[in-house]
Amino acid sequence: MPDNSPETGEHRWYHLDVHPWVFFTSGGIIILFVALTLIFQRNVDDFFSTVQSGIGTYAGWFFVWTMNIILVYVISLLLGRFGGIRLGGAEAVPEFTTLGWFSMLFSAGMGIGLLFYGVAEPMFHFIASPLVEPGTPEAARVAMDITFLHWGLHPWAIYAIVGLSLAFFSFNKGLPLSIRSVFYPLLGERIYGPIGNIIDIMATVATLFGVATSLGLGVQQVNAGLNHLFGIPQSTLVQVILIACITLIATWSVVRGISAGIKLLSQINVFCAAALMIFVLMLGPTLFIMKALLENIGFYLQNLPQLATWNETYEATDWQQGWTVFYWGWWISWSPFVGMFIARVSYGRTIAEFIKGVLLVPTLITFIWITVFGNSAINIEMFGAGGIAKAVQENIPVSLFKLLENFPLGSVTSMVAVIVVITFFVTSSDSGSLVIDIITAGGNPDPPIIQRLFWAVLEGVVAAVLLLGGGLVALQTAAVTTGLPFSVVLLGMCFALHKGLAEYKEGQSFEFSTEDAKTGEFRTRPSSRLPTYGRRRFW
Amino acid sequence: MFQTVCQKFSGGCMMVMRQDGDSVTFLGTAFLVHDNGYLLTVAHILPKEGRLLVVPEDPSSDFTPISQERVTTIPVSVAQRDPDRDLALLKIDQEMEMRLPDHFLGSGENMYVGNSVMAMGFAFGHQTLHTLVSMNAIISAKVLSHNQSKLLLFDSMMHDGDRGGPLVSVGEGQVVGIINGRFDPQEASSEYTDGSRTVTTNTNVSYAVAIEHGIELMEKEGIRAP
Repeated sequence: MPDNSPETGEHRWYHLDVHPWVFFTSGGIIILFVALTLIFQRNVDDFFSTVQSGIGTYAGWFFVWTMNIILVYVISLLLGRFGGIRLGGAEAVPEFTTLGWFSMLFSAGMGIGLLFYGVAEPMFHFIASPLVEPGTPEAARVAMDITFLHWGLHPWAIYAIVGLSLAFFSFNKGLPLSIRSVFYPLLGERIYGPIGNIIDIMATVATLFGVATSLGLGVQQVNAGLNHLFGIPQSTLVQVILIACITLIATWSVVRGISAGIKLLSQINVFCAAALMIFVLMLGPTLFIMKALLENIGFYLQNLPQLATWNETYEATDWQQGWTVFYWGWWISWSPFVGMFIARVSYGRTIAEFIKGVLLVPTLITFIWITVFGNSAINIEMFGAGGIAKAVQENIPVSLFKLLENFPLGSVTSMVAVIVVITFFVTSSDSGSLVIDIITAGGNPDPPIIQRLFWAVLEGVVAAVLLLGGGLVALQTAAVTTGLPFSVVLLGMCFALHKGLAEYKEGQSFEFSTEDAKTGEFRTRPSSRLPTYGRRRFW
Repeated sequence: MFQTVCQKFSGGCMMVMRQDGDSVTFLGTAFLVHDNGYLLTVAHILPKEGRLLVVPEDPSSDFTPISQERVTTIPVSVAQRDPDRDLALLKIDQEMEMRLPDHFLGSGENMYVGNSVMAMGFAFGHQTLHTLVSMNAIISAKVLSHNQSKLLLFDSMMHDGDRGGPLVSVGEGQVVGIINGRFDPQEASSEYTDGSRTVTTNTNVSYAVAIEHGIELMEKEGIRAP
């Protein structure tokens, strides 16, 4: 086993290498879904977009509630009496360095979307603001605020709650590292039965389709970027080759294990991303960005309660369905995957450290990122040559490169951007495969190599098949629709976690009964002298 | 806080007794550390021979009789003994159903001078008063003895029956030491052999052996700390 994690060798991790029900049923469902999508493409597409838009219309408010409740709960955990509980017990030692941990959290959690939407999203809200008159300075401020809302504390709170629940029930309560374990306080031993299997199968299927469709759609964006930069033709052949390359690197990384593979790639990824960001910061409108960062954060904090609870009740519009509610559904549907991965790498952290590391630090980094890219774009649009807004509307991935062209050394930064895009893909793909491996291995955090190989390759194959046969969008929509049932699950999870933590910290006691034991009955007698046997040897 | 700690650990504390014919005499306190029926206590209260028994605490949280004329006992035997650390691991001779809290063994290493602790034991068992008595204290010092044992000094007067009881950290709700008894500066001083030269001092400081040494003993028996 290349992964020399401290848990390796503890046999409780190895009670099952393949969970037969979860492994084979998930595999079967995935193949069946892909086949059905290929055959009934249009119908599948229609069906899921109808479901998705129905969810947006009728359950949007519920997402808004869920996200806010969870954010408040996570903040209360940070400040409350459970902060000192260490994941894995008081003596547990973190498996990864803090920097390595952050890199992995960030790479798995945000990934590729941030790269493109960092430029595109503030621009969309700037030119079509739902709240203020578009194109004005106020619109710019609100555009940044809305983008911060969608990428800030709320999504990371969701990841934190799922990650924390999994880590707590697995590392502190000895349950398998699997989605089903989170339900232990509610379902008890039944988590090992069919209900538990269904939960794990759902998580596996949603994760695989989520990651595979992102891969498939993402390579189209990469291809568009490469076309713009080097004139490489936009064709399915190029895209399939890209999928093959990314899958190859991801497979290598998963097989090498977390320390030698995933952590290494995450660190390379974060390093490249930081380089790109610093490039843009230095070569772009530095002064504007530095000023904007503080102002954006201040505005976000001031308006958070209002904006986060906004339900467009009085406007009676459906703007949120395409943005806020879509994002909420999206983050929630990704949370089993990202949460599971975060749990896996967070052994040995205290709850307070965990929440600072998963909620506050990534949010701050995200804000810096969005400010650097989003405000650069807004700066060009407001005070410079313009043209970014048009590029964003035409083609989102290309708009990133259009932005970079506005600054000196455009070809160098574009090259770095392409590398960052690819490393972000690989890090999402390998962590996705690892999560599926762990679940289908019955909660073994270090599943056998052959299984890692299988899932990593299957992910690439599904992406390629859907790319060639069509149906990427349909299945991605399908993956996002799992956000609704899962948001109910998330609320239950807060309850279960709270119950578990309270019991762990103070409600537990020794339960001991002499009822069925062989006991004696004796008369008690006082000691005539103090019984002491042998000398104490300390002194 | 103090209340939660006492409630958590009272069920794990037991009286250690020796059988003499049809009666039993009290020896000290022991506490459960493993769900296979292991208890930790101090070695110097255990006679080399004779039948050892433990008596669990009366689970009622209400007022309980101060003394029991007859007690219900469970036979135990000594699984491990470490005279250098003055610790012993007892094992209940039969299989019994029990549930222990998660991760309730902490470490003396993580305790700092000034931390709040609770000391629990059957303080007056020798006088046939069978009540678990809890006392609070702070960690007064962390010392290494002449034989390199890690000891936690705390500012509470332990009584003879407390020996073998758990010293519990209030903040973490974990056992951090095994109560050994009153701290005697004359005994601890290396000058002690020449009794004429030392100043006699009365103190209310007591000490406990850090739980690490107890965990070492458990590992020697092949059981893992929960």
